[in-house]
Amino acid sequence: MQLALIIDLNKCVGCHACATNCKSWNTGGEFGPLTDIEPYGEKPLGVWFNRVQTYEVGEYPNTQVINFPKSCMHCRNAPCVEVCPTGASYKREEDGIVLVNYKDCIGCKYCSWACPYGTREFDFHEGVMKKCTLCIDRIYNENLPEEERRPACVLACPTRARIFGDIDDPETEASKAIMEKHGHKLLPEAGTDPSNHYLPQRKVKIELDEDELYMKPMAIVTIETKLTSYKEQILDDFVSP
Amino acid sequence: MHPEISLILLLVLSGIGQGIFIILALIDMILSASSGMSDATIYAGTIASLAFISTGMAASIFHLGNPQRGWKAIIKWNRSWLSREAVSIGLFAGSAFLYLTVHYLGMSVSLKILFGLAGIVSAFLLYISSSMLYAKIRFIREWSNIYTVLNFIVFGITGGGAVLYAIVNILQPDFPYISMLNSVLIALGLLSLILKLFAYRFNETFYMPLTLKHALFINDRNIKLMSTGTSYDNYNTIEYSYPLSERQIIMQQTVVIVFAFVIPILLWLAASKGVFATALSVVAAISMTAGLLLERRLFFVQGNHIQNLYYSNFRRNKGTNPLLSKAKKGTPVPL
Repeated sequence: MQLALIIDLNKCVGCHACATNCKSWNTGGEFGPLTDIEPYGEKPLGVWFNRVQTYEVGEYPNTQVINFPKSCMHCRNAPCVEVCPTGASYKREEDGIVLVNYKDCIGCKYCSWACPYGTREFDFHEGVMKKCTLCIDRIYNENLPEEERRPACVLACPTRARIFGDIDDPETEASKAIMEKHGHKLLPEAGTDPSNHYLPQRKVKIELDEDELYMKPMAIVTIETKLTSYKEQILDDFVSP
Repeated sequence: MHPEISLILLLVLSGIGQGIFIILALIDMILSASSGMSDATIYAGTIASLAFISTGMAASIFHLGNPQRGWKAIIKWNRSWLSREAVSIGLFAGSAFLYLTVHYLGMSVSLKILFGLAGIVSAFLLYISSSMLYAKIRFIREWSNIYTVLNFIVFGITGGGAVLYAIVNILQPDFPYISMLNSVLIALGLLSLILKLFAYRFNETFYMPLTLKHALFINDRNIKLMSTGTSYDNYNTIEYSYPLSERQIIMQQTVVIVFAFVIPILLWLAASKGVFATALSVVAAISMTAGLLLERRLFFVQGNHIQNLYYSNFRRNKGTNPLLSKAKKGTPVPL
């Protein structure tokens, strides 16, 4: 089993809701706090597990905006785990989540150098390295209702651009999204085999044959009949009391 | 990468401490029969070595977020080079201390040779592990090359030799092999100079194919960062990059070359004539230490992490695709 996040760049609108909900949950969660230094000052500096960057692609006037959320990739071949001198960084065998044991972390920052994605963040206040936990304190939390046992970022996303699931199981929504929407990894050259996937921006097109234009799609027919029946009932009520 | 003063001090000072011990122990073991070094020189050299290494270790504590559990760094010695560094720094400091003790107590020569060899071996282990720590980070091409390892070893031994030469000049100017030490130092200095020039040349010319296009997996030449998502810096912009223009880097490289290598070599050449040898050797040692501190700082500053692609802080060097440059000369490009 390898849990992962699938991020649909086609749907992401760059609202930062994933990042803020992540911070909100995790700063009070088991892996918190996500310390802020000078949060209301001129130079706010803080720990975030997830950051959204915005890029402009193409040349004016043919430009596109890409909002790019990036958090720990939970690599299968995690270089950060290999280099940790204390064994504080580890990859869980049962679900593939990469975690840091704060009690063993000495704060040498070596793991953050070894990560090609820059997704580990050092907590200058507590002196330990912090990173995305895939909300491990949510997904196995039996105090939460079943539908809320998902990472905070996934729950917050208003456009449902984030999918959470096991990418080893081909039947999950996550695996299907990777297969059907051409999910790709980040920096495959790095040889880290990241688990998080990104679904590329793409133009959504519907291809219709000419005869399909003259057919009334079933869905519209059903809605229309429903509407008329509803309307008649209401009218009946008013017209013949 | 952000040049952290504690790491710079650790690397340079412990490197010099190891270098002093390696040269001192070699001289003492080889020439012990032929009444080589005076006791004062051996004490001063070993104590200087221990002082350098303990200053380095003390400085490294300030790098750690939680130094109170820093001892845990030795746990994963079979996996992490940082852990191996921690183990070998302990082994080296222990061996050097025992060497000093055995010499002070006048115990048997074989015991002294044992600890001397242990010190030399652990010093080399420490050089290798502390350089492999950097060379193993394959996402920083400026670090991940053979020059890192060679430079750490050769610069450390040369710096240690410079300090030891000053000590010998102060305490035992009539040391019979002082001219040999001088010529060895000049040779080591020249070797360091050549290695450093090669390393700077490598940093300028290696081919780095990755761009923001590859980092984002979007096939377009024009990708611009519009927003980092934060109003101020964050850990990724602070830790992985350091604002230094290309001109400043070239200027600092020149300063490094002059202070760490050229001035000491010239001073050693002058000292070989025997006039003002003490003063010259002390100035050479100070100049070399200062130069090496700047060299190690520049080593960090020049380290350019792949992560910087996402923040558009990635410094492009002048390297060209080796396949394309071959194709220009008319040879077929292997596919």
